[in-house]
Amino acid sequence: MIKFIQKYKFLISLFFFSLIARLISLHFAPPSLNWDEVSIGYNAYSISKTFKDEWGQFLPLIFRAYGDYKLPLYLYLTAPLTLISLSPISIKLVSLLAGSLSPVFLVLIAKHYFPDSKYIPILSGFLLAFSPWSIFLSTIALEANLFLCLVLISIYFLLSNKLSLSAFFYALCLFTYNSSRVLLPFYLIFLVFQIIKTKYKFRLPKLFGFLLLFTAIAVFLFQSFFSSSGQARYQWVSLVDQGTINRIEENRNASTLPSVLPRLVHNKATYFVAYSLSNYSLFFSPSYMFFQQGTHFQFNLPHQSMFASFLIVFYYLGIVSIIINIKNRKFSLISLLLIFLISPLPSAITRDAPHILRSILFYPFVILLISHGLDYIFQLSRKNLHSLFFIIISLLIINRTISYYRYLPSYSLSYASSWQYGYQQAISYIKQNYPQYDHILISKKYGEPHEFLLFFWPWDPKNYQNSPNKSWNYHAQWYWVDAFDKFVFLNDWDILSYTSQQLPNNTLLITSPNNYNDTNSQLLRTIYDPANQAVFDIVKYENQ
Amino acid sequence: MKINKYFIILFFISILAFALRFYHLSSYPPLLWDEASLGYNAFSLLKTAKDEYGSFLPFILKSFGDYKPPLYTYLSIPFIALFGLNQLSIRLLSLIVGSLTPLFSYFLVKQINKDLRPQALLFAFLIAINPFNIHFSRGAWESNLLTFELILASYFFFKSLPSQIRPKIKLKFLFLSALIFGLSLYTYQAAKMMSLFLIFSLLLANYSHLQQLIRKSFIFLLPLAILSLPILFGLIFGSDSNRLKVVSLFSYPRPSADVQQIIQESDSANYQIFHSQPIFFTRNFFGRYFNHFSPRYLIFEGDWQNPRHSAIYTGVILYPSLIFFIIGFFSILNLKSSSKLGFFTHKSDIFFLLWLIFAPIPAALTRDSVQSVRAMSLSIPLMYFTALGIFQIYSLLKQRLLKLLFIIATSSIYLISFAYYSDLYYNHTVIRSPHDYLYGYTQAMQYFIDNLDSYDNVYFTNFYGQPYIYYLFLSQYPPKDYQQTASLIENNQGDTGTVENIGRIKFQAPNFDSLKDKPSTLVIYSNDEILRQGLNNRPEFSKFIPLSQIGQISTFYAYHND
Repeated sequence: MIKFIQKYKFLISLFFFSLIARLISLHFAPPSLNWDEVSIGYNAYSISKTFKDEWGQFLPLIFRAYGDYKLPLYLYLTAPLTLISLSPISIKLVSLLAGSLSPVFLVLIAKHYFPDSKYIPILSGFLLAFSPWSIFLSTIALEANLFLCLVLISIYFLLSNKLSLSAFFYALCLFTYNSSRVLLPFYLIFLVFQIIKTKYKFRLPKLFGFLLLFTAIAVFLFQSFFSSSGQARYQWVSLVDQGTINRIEENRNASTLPSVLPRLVHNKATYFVAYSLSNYSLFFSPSYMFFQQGTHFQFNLPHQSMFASFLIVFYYLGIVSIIINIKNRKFSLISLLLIFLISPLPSAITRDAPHILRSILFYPFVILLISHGLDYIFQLSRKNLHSLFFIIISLLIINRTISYYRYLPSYSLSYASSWQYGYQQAISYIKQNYPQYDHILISKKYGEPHEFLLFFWPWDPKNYQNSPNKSWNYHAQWYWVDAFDKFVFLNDWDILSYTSQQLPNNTLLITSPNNYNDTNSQLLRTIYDPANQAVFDIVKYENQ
Repeated sequence: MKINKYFIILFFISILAFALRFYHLSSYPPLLWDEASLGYNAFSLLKTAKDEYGSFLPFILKSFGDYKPPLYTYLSIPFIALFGLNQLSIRLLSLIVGSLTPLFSYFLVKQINKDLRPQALLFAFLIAINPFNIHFSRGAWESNLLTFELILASYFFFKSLPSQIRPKIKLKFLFLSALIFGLSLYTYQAAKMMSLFLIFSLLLANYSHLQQLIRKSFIFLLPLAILSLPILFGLIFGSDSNRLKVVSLFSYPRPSADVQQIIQESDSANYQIFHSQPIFFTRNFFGRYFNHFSPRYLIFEGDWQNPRHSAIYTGVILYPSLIFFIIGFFSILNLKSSSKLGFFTHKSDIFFLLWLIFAPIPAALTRDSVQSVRAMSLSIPLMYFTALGIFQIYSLLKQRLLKLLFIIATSSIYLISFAYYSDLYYNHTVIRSPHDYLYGYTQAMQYFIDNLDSYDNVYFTNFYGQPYIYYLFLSQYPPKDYQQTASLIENNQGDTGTVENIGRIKFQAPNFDSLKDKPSTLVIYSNDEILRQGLNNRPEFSKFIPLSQIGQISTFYAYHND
């Protein structure tokens, strides 16, 4: 073991420092758990206690959750942790460790591509470990983050010719995050190419990895063609929805072309291709990543671009010098460039592009290019200036990380509402006073109150699965839970009318601020978010 | 097989150390709250893998709100599993570690300087009979474990160093040393500073190997960094920083009335120059620091602030040790010949000198003017220099007869001094301050537990603090049930909190008049409450049952109304 530590001391300390960077960030933000994290947490808890998910499915390969159909690996990895304690840290631990491990494997990949360079591996490791976006994503329970780590491992093994291991890790990717399914054909091409090129010998124990990959593909195909669950997710994010179909229809009618041609020009396929291409090109616009500020406030930090603006110079320099290198017969770099070009695809063919999570594989390769560009400058300068440059670059990276930490408290303050803040406080109040009330009404304003209730309580999964009063319905491709046990979940706009009628005695109402009927009511408590905005009113109804 | 004579002597020293520490351990001294808390938490961890508050394998034990480091508790689990939850089993770890301390002290000195073997043997013997070490080995004191770990970690550190035979650093031992230093952070609060100082001392004492060590520093830093990570987060973000604020010297600035007084005596410029807060703190710090080297502390009174930390009427080391300590302290200087080590002859002299200088600092930074527990590792360098002193005198004497006389005289003085200490420790210490030693808690609580079921209203006084833990400890209350209901009322100042009741048992002693006639009631009062309420002069006093007679008084009384 000591020899191992001695040999990999750089990688170990890189892992260690990126873990620290993420733990510090976790202390400041995000302010609370969001509904996806809560859902992951409770389903994992349910699995670990009863081997069934919250809907009573025995060890599912795809989790129904709210109807968003989550892939299973993150949940199964989290399940044993939730047995220890059902707390935010145990939900986020997998993402946290994956995020800290990613830089390590990026370094290994960089070492493979640039074996002669001293600085590229270190720089790329640093850049990924201390990038605010990576740190921030690691503090959220995100499947995408686990996917990034697994796919980097898979690529590393692919490059170093351990194909069975690579297949194994890619199979895990297929169980982790949907982007991997879009990238699957390209991966298979790479794999087959590698098998042919190296004349890979299949031996019995090594087959295991391929077998798992095969199974994963089979499961994926089965889910996408024979059950509705696999497709459900794509319907939410697909480019072609009812709105676009109407637009295509409109365009056809407005077209002045002769008879059949409008059908040929304006159809789903052309629309899809055109929009995909425009989405795809967004990834390569100079403003994205270096100047533009994030739009998804849950996954990007507002008022911050992904990379420091000055790095754009090195980014383009990196691209150019890679192409020059390929011209100089360094063919191994072709695959780097190919992965770089392919990785934005999952986001390009879906809505909301550029979406940071769906294109998450793109950014480590951007980092590789940036480091290559930096290294190019190093090569131009005198050797004794290298370490000076290196220190300056590192200081700039660290400086950005520190300013990110300084920004976090105000993020927690301003964006508490994006994080469904306030449920935890409301639920701890309900839990304390649970025996006093026969009916508890909760507003659905902030989304999925039942899941937060189950999680923060934490409610016994067996009891919930078999709760006799449970009622739910399915509409708009979403599963809505309306009641279980003593609880009734109401739409926010229904609360006024609901509370005007005669309520049973001993009713507790948790509603959005001031949204309730005054008669016979008594306001018990108001819950505020960190920015001192009221989130919930807790009201008690008593008949005179 | 040839048996080394040193090992035979060492064996007997270890036996002696064990015997002195084991004698009557299961009944004397009385069980303290902290021991009961460590014991119950270990019991809880053994049964449910959770502490008394239901947190899973915690990095820090909440206990009474003082947030105890957990290593002692974790290491005690096997003893609790083997011997059950009782007074002896929770003290067993400290006993074993305390008995091994002389042995490893010998190894440490021998490892640093091969030619100091006789001195090392004397050193081990002195530790075996030193009141400081005996006192803290007879009880579940975390700082005793810490002292042992410091010796062990230093031993491994020196063992890893290159020698003539093997010019390379032995990474295995370096790693072990760092691991133990890292674990020491989970042993006792003062370790956070002491371990750091000791690592610094080790590096300074091995200045000649520094370059080699820096090249291999990763092996040393890695376990240390990993193990200190949770601690760092605890310090910066966590709850235990609160506790630090309570005990820190810097939380107690000069009161403003005093400031006004000083300004009135001269003027505010004078106050700024000669009496400002930094100067006040520096003064207080050095005052506390040198208290630990004062004869009052070392041989006459011991920890005069807290009788629980040393035997009464005597100090932390034996009387003759003080003289030999001073002689030994000055004997290390070598002004005539110049060696590689400057003014010093031995590397171990430098190391123990640094240890001596650093050891009282953690204690001096706290509010108490002396604090034996935090300064416990001081005992090791003290005994080292004492051993050097004795040996120095011995080697100065040339004639055999004088040598013989010296041996007889020294050993008889030590014998008398030790006998005197034993008498004070066994016959006077607890009787003189039964409240400080919490005498009677076990007896009173045992009585309370035995009679609990026949009464509806049951009260136990909270006068001496934390009665609930004795209840849990002695009744072996199922941890799973307690975890459900555990609720500690936190203290606003950040000091230890209180538990007011467990189920129907209330941990308070209400005014006697209010429940005098209440039917089916059992109350345990402390002696002090009896005196304060004037109950001993009332006719009802005959109905009180003394539960723990000691000297003239009983520390607890039971009153029951059927």
